[in-house]
Amino acid sequence: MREPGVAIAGAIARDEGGLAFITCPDLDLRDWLVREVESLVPSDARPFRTSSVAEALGEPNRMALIIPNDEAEVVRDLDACRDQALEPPRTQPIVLFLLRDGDGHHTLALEAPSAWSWAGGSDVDPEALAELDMDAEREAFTAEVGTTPEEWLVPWRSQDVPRTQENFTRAFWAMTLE
Amino acid sequence: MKSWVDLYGEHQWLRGMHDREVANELRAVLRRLSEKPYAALRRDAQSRLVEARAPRSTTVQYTLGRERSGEALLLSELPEPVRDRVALREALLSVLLRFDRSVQRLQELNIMLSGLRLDGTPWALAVHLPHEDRTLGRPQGDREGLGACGHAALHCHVGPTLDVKPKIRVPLPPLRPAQIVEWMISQAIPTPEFEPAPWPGVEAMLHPS
Repeated sequence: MREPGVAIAGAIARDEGGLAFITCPDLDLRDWLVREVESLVPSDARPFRTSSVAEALGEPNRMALIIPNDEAEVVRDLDACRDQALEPPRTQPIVLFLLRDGDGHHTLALEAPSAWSWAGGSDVDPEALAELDMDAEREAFTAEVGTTPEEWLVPWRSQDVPRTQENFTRAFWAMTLE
Repeated sequence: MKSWVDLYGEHQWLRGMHDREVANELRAVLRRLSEKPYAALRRDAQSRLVEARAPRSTTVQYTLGRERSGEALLLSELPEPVRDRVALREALLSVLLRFDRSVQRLQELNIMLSGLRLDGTPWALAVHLPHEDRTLGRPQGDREGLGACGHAALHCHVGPTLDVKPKIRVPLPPLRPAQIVEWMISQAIPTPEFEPAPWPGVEAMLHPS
C-alpha cells in the first residue's frame, strides 16, 4: 500500500523549491487536505495560503499553498512563469490544490506543458491512496501470518494470544480485513 | 458509584470527534517530537501516520509507521542531559485508531509504548478504549470487565507486559489521542523538553496578568 502522508511528503520534498499538485475529490475535502499538508510539513517551511501565483512567487523561502479560485487560470499562470521561480531560487516548494477531474487538471494536461514538466510527477491524490485494496491486503496478511484474518482472530478473541504490541497491531489489522 | 458513571459518560462524550481533526492534532505532536534539537522520533514521523479505509465503508483507521510497525524512540540519540534522565534502553510507539467518519466518532483506540528498561527487562504502557459496538461476538461493547471502576472504558495498562498479573488498568480522564501520545512520551522522557504543560505555563494560563 502506498501511504498517503508519505506520498504527500515525498511529492513536496522531491524537488527543493519545486511544484507539487495535490488532488482533492471535492471542495469540502480540499480544506481538510490543506490542513493535512500544513500538519505534515516541517515547521521551518512556514507554509502560507494564497490563491495567487504572484504571491506564491513573492515568497521564495516559504511553502506556498495555492488554493485557487480559478484553477485553469492559476495553472496557466504557473505555466507562464516557471522562469520566475528560478531567480531567485526557491528554497520551499509551491503546492497547488486541484479538484479531481476539474478544470485545473484539464488545463494542465492540454495547455500547460511547462507547469507539468516543472512538477515532474509530483502529483498526489491522497484520498485515492487511502483506499485499501482489500484482496491484496488479505493476501498479504495470509502470506505473512500463515492464516486468514478470521482464523487469526479466533485465538486472539479467546485470549489465547499474548497481548504484545505486535499482536495488538495484527489484531487491529485483521479486524479491518475480516 | 456516581463518579464512575460520570467518568464512563465522559468517555462516551470523548468519542465524538472528527478523524481528520484528530489526525492533524496527532501530526502536530509527532512533528514536534521529530524535530531537532530534541527529536525523540525519526524525521518526519508526522508523515507516517497512515490513513486507510475499505472501499464503500465509513470506517477509517489510522496507524503509525511504515507497514503499521510503529515508531522507535531515538533514546540513544537524545542530547546528553536529556538522555541521562531516560530509564529505558529502547521503546516503540504504536498508534491504532478506528473511526466511523459518517458520524464523526472514535470507535476504538489503542496507543502503546513498550520496550526495555536499562537492565533489559520489559516495560509497557498501553492506553485502550475498546470498540463501542455491541455485536454477537462482543455483546458487552466497551463495558469490559466487571464495571466502570475496575475496567474504565478509557484506561491505561502499566506493567512489564500486558499479560503479567495483576493486570493494572488505570482509569484515564477523557484525553484525546494527541494528548495521550504527549503523556506517554512525558513518562518515557521525563524532562522539561518533553513536558507539554509545564507548571509555569499552567500558572500563566490559570492566572493571566
